[in-house]
Formats: sequence, C-alpha cells, structure tokens
Amino acid sequence: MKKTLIAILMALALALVPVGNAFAATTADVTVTATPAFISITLAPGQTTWPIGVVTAGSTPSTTTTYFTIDNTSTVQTDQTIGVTTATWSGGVTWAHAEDAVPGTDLAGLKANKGGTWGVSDIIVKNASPNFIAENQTANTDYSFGLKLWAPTEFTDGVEKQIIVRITAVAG
Amino acid sequence: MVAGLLLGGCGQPSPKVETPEPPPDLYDKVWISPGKVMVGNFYPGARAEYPLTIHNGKDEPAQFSVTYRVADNTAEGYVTAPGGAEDWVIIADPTPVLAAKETREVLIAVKMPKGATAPPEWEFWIAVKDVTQTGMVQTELACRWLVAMK
Repeated sequence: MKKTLIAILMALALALVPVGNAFAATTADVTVTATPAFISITLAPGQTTWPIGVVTAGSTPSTTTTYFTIDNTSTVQTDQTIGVTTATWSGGVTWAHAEDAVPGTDLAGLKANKGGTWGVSDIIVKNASPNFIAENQTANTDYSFGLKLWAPTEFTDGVEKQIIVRITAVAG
Repeated sequence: MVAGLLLGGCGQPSPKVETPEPPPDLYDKVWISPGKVMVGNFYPGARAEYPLTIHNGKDEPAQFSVTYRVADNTAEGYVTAPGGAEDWVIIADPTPVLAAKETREVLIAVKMPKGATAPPEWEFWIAVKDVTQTGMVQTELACRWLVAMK
C-alpha cells in the first residue's frame, strides 16, 4: 500500500514538472537592446532658406547643388531622406505638390541634387515615401545639396507660396 | 557596445539605462540617442519601453516634438509597422522644452494590444524635431524601433 502511494505521488510529480516548464516558456521575457549611438545633423548657419523670388509659369529656378550644407556629426553611419512635410504649397490658392516632380496647373515639383550636376542623379522631393538624399552616409561626414523648383505651368494667383523641406537622419 | 534590457509583460518598472558620454564636439549640437532600439520576443499583450535621450546644444531653450513616424525605409528583413501601430506607442512627453545645453530622457513605450496582429519583424521610427527651426529646409532626427515577434 505504502509503495503504491509513493508510486502515485512520483507519477503526479513527474506529470506536474512539464506543466511548469511549459508555462515558463510561454511567458519568456521580452528583450530590449539598444545601440547607444548619437544621431545629429544640423544645417549650416544661414543656409536654411532659399529665397526663390518671383517665378514665371513653367520655369525651373534652382540653387547650386552645394547651396545647403548638412553638418553631420552623427557617430554612426546614417540613412538620410529628403521630403516635404505637406502635400500642398501654402499661400493663396495652394499649389499641389507633384510627387513625380512633373508640374501642371497649380501643381509644382521639387528636386534635389547632392553636390553633383543638375540633371544627373537628381532626387525627387516627395511628400509620401521620401527618397534618400544620403544613404549610408559615413559618420561625421558633411555633405551639400541643392534644390530645383518645377514651377506650375499655370498659376491661379500671385500670392507667395511656401513649403517645408525636411531632412531626416536615422541610424543606417 | 550594446545596452541590453530584459522586460517582462505589463507593469514593469521603467528601465534604468546609462547613456554613454557623447563626444565633446556634440555638446553644442542637437542630438538624440540611441540610434536603434531592438525589441525581441514581442507578442500581443506585451509591453516594451526604452528612454530616448535628447540634447539641446543651442544657447537658448528649444521646444522639440517627439512623434511616432512611419519609417521612410526599413532595416533588412523588416517591414513598416502595421496600420494602427501608432496607437500602441506611448510617448511620455511629446513636446519637451529643453533649456540651453540640457539633456533629457523621454520614455518611449510600445504596448501591443491582445488580439492584435503584426508581421514577424516590423519597424517604426520615433522622430525628434526642433520646432523652433525656421526656414524652408529643416532637419529631423529619428530612432529606429525594430520589433521581432515571438
């Protein structure tokens, strides 16, 4: 009788052990790790604005391709994108922003070029899904770029228009 | 060097994280750290958190915006976060005002609701922008959050 009782208790104990392990496996800890890099870019002082001035319909005014300089003091390689923060240019009758940089009536486009020649490797500046302006940018390495406007082929009004261009840096 | 944490389910205390000393030449710059946060073994109902450090290197106070951001591009193997993931992210202080040369931590947490679904590996960004910037061209810094499901 005593032997039978011990056998039953051992069987119960064995049966319970796997249950405990299974419970532990389903509550495994969430892990969080971080790479303590420093991400830092700024525009060189006095180079945050391009005073385009008066534009004519269908014109394509541009800066030099080194007009803006990004002071990149990130301690790791970064991926940097360029985009506009809104889908329209504000002011009076707004201009829509052309995601393919092809202008139209009250529809304007914008391109960037990273220190090269206009027309060669230009980057379309989009609102949705911004493009790279500096992919795999080496740590602590500055770069320059310019902007080119594709003015609407027709304007509704002559009110000044504005849009914000944003450079975003993230660890590569 | 990688800072590591093990976080349980809900209700764990805020992690104590030692931010490494930045290089001296970053003292006068605006920067964020870390560059990437990797979450592993994540599952519906789980929560993970990590502080984002922001430094205002300017000589005057500056207000920052700290926002959830759909990734412009993703790390290899990862896809953009599922729709609705923005609601899973909690930013302790989305509009911090930092004094000149101040460094501050803002806690970021992601809590996935029970019953929600997500791809095996997904990514979102936490973007930091100095909103006192003026001019046509402005800069933004972002931290990648890379989440791997269990």
